[in-house]
Amino acid sequence: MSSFGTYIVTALQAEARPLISHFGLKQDTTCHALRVYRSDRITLVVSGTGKVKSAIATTGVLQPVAETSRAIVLNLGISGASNLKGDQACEIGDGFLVNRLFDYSSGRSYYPDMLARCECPEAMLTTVDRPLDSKDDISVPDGLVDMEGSGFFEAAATFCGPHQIALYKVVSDFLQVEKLDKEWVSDLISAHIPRLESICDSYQAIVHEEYDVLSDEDRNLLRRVRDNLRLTVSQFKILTESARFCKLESGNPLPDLSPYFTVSVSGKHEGKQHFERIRERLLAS
Amino acid sequence: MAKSLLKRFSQSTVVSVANYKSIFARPRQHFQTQKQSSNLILAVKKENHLYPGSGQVQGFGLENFFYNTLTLNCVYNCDYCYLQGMYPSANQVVFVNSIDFLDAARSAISARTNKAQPLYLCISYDTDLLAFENVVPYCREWITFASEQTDLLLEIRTKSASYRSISDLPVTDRVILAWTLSPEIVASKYERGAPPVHRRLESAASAAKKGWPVRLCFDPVITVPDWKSHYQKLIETTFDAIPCRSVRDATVGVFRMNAHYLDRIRKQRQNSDILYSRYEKEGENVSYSKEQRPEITSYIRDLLTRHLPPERIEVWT
Ligand code: SF4
Repeated sequence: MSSFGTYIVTALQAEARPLISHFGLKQDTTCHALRVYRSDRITLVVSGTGKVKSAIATTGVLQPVAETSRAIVLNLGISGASNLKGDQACEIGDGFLVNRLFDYSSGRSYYPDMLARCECPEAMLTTVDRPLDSKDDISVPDGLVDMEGSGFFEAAATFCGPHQIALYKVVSDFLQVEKLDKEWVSDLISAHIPRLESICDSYQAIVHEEYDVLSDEDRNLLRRVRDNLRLTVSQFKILTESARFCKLESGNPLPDLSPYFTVSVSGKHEGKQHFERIRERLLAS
Repeated sequence: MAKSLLKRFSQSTVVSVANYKSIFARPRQHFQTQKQSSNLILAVKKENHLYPGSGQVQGFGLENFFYNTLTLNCVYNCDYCYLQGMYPSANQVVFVNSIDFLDAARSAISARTNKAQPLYLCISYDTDLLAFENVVPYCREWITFASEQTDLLLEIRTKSASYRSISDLPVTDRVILAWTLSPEIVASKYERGAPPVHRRLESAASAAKKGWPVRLCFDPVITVPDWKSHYQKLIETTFDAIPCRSVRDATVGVFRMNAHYLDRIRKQRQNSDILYSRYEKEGENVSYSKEQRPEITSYIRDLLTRHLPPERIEVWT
């Protein structure tokens, strides 16, 4: 599983446990307010139950991320199911990607982009504010029911686009409120790890689709030039645009900018002169 | 329409949405990412079934100029397309309440200001309707409608080779079938998904042969290296394929785009040189420089005047 910048939010420790052990995640002891587990590429947070807690935890792990455009954010957990019919008829232990979320109390709907190419059944998810029992006198749309989805989505959508956000739910009950055995919940989730990995791969492929002619290496080189010449934000923007123009116009790699990594610069004025020289060179390519 | 589309795509997952804008207008969507796998949104357009035309499109002196948006977005994905900056989403929206659009056109025909001229209505303005005809047969519906109206002139602009999907319809001089033509080097590099030019020409030639009023659109002209010889060759090939007497008229326009849209596109993609050329900003638009623009258009116009009288050539600079 290629899992660069994968952020997973679960409500329960029992849901998180199989992931922690499968991916070899270690608890981040520097994080006191939230229960966070990490590897170099995956961050998992256990939010607790309910949409407010889910929103807080999602915000908590995404807020410090400098570059969220390549992140994928996944809400994984168990859910109830009501009246799934036809293709969507389901059994305990079935897993679904959520294609529409409905927040029962606000009446608002949310839509993740379903762009990933992964063979996975889809369903609608309703988020409710308290555990829902089929004997209760409230009716929710047919589909899945949880207590976190809408809170998670609203928070994730503050940082990421709808193509970066996924919710994957495993059916644990048909709306009977009862205490679930933790081991059993972990086993339910555990059975879905292979599919979860393929979902993550598919989402990762989408967010890593390259729409920039400048490669990561090019951008690093430009940053080195910026740091050495002490360029301003707007000078760096102009430099980056000129580099793009150069590559797109010429169809060639960037010219050698390495002398500008080390050239000594005594002040802003001298930096600006070098900057103008590089720019001319890029635009003349 | 909605029922037949749902039947046609019966294998697809259907998600019900209260208002199409709640999915189309979500923040932070990535246009090109969605374009790789765009969804079809069936919606009802509740208002604005007709818009007055803007000065940026050639109207051949026709004053009652309007356009409508029967769909949002396009099956093709041209690098220079302003839709990437105009719409927040690449999903394809189809408005299924065509009756409201037809009613709006009927009212506009009666209310048009210059009664000596027909209502001139572009129905494939921000899209390529004929390219989508095999999914949504709106060209067919509107051509049939136009045949029944005395004071309507429709333009259906396309880059497609899909004339055959309407070729069984009786010819009417109330519908102009307009083909956008670009040199092969431009089409293959910048007009992703659109058929090669020779196939567009075959399609246009079949329509012209049957007697349809055919318009040729050299718009946007793009100054690729050696552009003059590419456009010269294109125009020669075009008039080899379609006799000039069968061509109603031609339009010429240089590449131009709303500056704000270009900024938005550049934020999402940085991989097409056409988005990064050195353009000049004039008012709200960017285009080639003030000096280049007349040079480009008069060159193309001169090539066209070898085949068409000047009054049948409309130029936008
Ligand atoms: S054919 Fe026209 S509307 Fe369609 S993508 Fe190309 S420029 Fe845009």
